[in-house]
Amino acid sequence: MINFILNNNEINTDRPAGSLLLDFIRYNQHLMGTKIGCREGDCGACTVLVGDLENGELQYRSFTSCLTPLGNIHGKHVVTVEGINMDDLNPIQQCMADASATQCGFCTPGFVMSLAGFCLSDQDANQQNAVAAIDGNICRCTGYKSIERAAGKITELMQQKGNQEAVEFVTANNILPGYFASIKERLQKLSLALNGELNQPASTAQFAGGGTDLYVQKPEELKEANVRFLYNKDVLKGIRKTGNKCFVGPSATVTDLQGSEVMRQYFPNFNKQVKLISSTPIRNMATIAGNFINASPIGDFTIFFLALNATLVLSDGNKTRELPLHKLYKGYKTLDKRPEEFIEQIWFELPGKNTFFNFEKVSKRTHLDIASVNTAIQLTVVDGTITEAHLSAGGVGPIPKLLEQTSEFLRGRAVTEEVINDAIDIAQSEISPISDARGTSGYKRLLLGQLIKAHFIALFPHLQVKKLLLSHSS
Amino acid sequence: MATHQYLGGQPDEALDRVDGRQKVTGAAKYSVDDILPGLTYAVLVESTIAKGHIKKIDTKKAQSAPGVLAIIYHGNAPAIPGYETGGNPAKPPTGGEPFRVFQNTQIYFAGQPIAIVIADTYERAIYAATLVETEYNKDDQRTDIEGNKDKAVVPKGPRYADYIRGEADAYKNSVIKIEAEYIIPVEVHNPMELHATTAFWDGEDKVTVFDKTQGVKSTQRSIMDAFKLKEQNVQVNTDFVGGGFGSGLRTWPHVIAAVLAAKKINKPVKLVLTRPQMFTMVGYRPYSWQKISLGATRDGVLTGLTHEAISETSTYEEFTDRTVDISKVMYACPNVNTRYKIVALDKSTPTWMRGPGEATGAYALECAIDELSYAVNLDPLELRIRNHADVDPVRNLPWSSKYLKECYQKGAEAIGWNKRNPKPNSMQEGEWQLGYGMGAGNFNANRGRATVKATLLADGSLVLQSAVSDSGPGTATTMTSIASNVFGLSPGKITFELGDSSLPPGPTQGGSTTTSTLGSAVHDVCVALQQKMAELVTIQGSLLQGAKPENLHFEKGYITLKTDASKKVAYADVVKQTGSSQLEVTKDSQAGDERNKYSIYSFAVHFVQVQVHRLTGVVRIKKVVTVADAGKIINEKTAASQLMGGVVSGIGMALMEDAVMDHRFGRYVNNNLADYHVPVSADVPDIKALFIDKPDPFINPIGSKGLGEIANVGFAAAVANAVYHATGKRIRTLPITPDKLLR
Ligand SMILES: Cc1cc2nc3c(=O)[nH]c(=O)nc-3n(C[C@H](O)[C@H](O)[C@H](O)COP(=O)(O)OP(=O)(O)OC[C@H]3O[C@@H](n4cnc5c(N)ncnc54)[C@H](O)[C@@H]3O)c2cc1C
Ligand code: FES
Ligand code: FES
Repeated sequence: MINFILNNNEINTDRPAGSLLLDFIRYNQHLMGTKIGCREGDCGACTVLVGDLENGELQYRSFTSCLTPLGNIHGKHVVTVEGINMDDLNPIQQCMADASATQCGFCTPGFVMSLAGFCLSDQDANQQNAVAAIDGNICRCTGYKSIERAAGKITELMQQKGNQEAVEFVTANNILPGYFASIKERLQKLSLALNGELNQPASTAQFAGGGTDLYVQKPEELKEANVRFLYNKDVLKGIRKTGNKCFVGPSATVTDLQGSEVMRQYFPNFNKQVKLISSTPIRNMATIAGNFINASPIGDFTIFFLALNATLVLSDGNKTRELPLHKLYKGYKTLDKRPEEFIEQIWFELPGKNTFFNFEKVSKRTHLDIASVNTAIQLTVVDGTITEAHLSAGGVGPIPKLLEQTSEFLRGRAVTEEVINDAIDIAQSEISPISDARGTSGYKRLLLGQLIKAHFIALFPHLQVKKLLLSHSS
Repeated sequence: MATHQYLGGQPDEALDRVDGRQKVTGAAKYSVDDILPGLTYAVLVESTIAKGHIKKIDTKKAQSAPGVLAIIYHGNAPAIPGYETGGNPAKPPTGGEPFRVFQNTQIYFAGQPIAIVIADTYERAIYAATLVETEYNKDDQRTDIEGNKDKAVVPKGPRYADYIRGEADAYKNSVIKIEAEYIIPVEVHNPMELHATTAFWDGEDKVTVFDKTQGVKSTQRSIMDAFKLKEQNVQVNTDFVGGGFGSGLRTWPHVIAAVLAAKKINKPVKLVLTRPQMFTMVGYRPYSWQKISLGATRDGVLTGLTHEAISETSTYEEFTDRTVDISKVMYACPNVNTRYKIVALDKSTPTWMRGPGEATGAYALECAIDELSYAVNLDPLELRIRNHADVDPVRNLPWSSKYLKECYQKGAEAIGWNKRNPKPNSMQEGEWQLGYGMGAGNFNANRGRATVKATLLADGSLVLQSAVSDSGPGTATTMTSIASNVFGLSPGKITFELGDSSLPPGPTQGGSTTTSTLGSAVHDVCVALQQKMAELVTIQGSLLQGAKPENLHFEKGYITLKTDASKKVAYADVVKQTGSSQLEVTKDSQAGDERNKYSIYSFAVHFVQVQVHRLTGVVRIKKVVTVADAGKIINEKTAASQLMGGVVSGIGMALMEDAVMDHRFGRYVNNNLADYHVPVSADVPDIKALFIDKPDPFINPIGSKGLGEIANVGFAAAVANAVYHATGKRIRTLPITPDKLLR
């Protein structure tokens, strides 16, 4: 049995936990305002909000319902466009209508929900955040500008929020329906009644995190499958610092990382780098362990954590073992992991004051796209000499790769243009890109070289980079 | 039928969308949203090979899967009596032999529907479809234009014959010569709404169809033709259409398949295409190879222009567009010749996509003009002005109106054109190279035929009806504006009904003609209704008896005397006077002979500022200014939105859209929205959409030319030209992705 609140109604359903929220909403509940444009998380037409209690606080996040199994919303509040309709248009809808932000209107409910998510979030009410909230919604008609204008107007409404809790503010000001004010209490009751988690099948089952890879890859199979949902397990969540180590729960989402104090403090550019990775709803759902285990050769967080030299703690429910992340990958999508093992913990050493980190990604479409090539670097530099180096690269071979020889080469050397160019040459010997829709192998080789330069330009702005900038031009 | 009524706002300002409320609340119903009692679900089985024959289809396993109601394929499909296909039979959209779904074993393309599985739920239909087993006799397919150009032929019909004005290939004898080849890959419309059809039969000869279509009448016609039914027995509805851009201009085979399935099982059947099927079943902009050769004097006066194009079609139909036509009319050049050919490939049939041939042709022409500007060392803007066509050079007729030079000037000012350093690769901003580019275009402004019925009700409100669909531009809103102005009634009292084939016949929404065609009919019916009202109020014994009809004034729901405003009659009272509950007028409206005297076109120019990253080749569009001469702008809000939407499709065309086929199998490798890239909001910069907004005196009574297509014609060239200006690299194959700049 899956229990949750859908808009203002308590739901109790015996539909399989692996089946999709989108289909439940449309075909079981006949709430047709939630649209389908792709069923793969790419378009945002199916966006809903999911409210959950985190440390006693009610948090709303946007999800693409086409990739969300019912199992992941057990005990939560799901909001569709019908759930934010009021007697008159609510101010979010009014702003959209006033700005002529709809043409064919098919994408519109998705945009409205993403903007409602912005209003319900604890982010600062500024235009930038409002526009970021719609980064996963595609509109083929309007050209987006009218929608951004609407987002601007909504931002103005939200600016009076100050320190108030979002839910309190939007209900008090008639931005969203009054029933939202009762949700916190209703979720608390629900959680007591549920008394813990979903009945989970035996450990041989298929693990699922946020579902953003699984439900793109094999939605049909999962619907009836024996799925073990790790997404909601509190013990697998959270990001904390102990000594100079950072522990990341495998079910922490990208959004969790973005919100974490530790990350903000040690990786000040993290949010800027993350902007190039998927979209708000996907980041709300995507877990770090899911990215590792999916083993895509261009998984962004895998590349990121490879350069951090992260270590995994794997467990089969009884025994645990530690494994450096880069040892996980044995070949294309082949892992050093038994089926019953899951990632229980991820840790890495936090950078000291002489340690620098950078991440670069180039894709065909700048935003909301999988990388053609991505790479991350972590360097410790003492008195102009590199004392420790980890360089990773994706999209240049069958697995996400730690470039061990290049990293080794960098250790003990000064940061000079010659060293950088030599490092690029060594990197070329470690990679084996293939030609595909994201580019030819030659292009990927060239691009990795350019991105390695970009690392050094970003980390050492005082370097004379003129030559580096020009050296590719024919 | 969709009813659109304006709810609020001031009558004089640009109307907000009349259907905005339904759209922002999720209440707007699209064809995929119809749930009927007893509804069943259909899923198509597709061919996995691109060419050959079906040897055998085994449906046994699928047939016994839970919930399966029927499986239809060539072995058991009922005959489709009149497979005449596609739109008004007088004007078939595409030549050749139409594809006859489930009627034989021939395979024309990978992804071709070869069977349809109907089950009680969607999930069960999907599952059962995977159990259908097919064996083929496979032939070798040809799906790539490259390598098959020698098989290109000139399409039948005079329209596509080689065109020669003056001397052919005159560029060869010119002092300055430019020859360049350009490629645009396959682009797919990908409206956000998936195509969907729900059909149910009432007896043997009556069917109702909810369909995603840009023309309810043309879909009705196609179904009538296919199943040999009477007009009144085919009901086609489309309340809201979630975008089309051309994909809804035809009645595709899957629609016929759904209607056939509903007939076979005698229950309502719903068929929804998947996103991958949107790449093969509802058309695409064909791949094109183009070569432009220009000859000019040293001071940039064109002396020769040759435009050659080779495009693709399927093996069963002959799709053609106007790729080379823009080169005939865009510039004053004494010697112009064009050659247009198509290659039949083992792919599905392409169709028109936003700014169809013109956008394709303008990309090549406007890039070549830019190349020429550097060859003669002249500002590209100045070069265009020097070669401005003051009359239509093809027909040697005056333009009905043309404000292209004003567009140039307005756009250049807005983008800061004179701030650019004309030298390529000369402007920098840190790690970014900066560039400016421009591209212009035109589009034939047509007017078709439409009928509108106007009903004035006893409460003084007006209902207008016509069988059109609105795929997004805001047709009901625009029509309400026009009616409000012409008829003299506040928009809140006007309702526009559309999306229902039983209404008076309206046009198909395409080719930027809806406002011109339907708007004219709305104008005419409002005038006719006023005439009728004038007769009624001036006859003996009536409210303004004896007044001359030409002395009446219609405003804000009242008829007054021009000479004496105190004498007035409410519209409602005119109805009451007749003793009946309403007053009706139906008016058929079409163009006169103005087209014999004038050439009627819309014009636009696009200015673009780009940044190119020196290390990675990433291109960012920083600023766009688009100026359109589209005649009178009825509603600034919907028009600006329409123009920006067009610009963003241009961004897609220039920088990202590319349906990549693996020619070894004849299948697309990126048939989803993750890998087929359309612009997202972060890709879209500040866009200024500007209008000249001067009525065209001849095209129609309202003075509006078309807008939807012009927004995209010439845009990709502006981007390519800006990238050249930024980097000194000429990318002649779209899209301009980082890998092409980083070599
Ligand atoms: C629209 C869209 C855009 C995307 N963009 C990007 C992008 O820009 N960059 C990028 O890197 N990725 C991207 N992705 C891919 C995806 O979002 C990420 O890989 C994500 O991190 C996967 O996490 P998940 O929790 O959703 O994984 P799931 O789909 O739930 O699971 C993936 C795999 O991990 C396994 N798994 C999950 N948790 C554990 C655990 N604790 N122990 C063992 N096994 C586990 C599952 O069994 C499964 O095999 C995108 C996906 C979508 C749909
Ligand atoms: S349907 Fe496109 S994101 Fe869900
Ligand atoms: S309005 Fe049509 S997709 Fe956005």
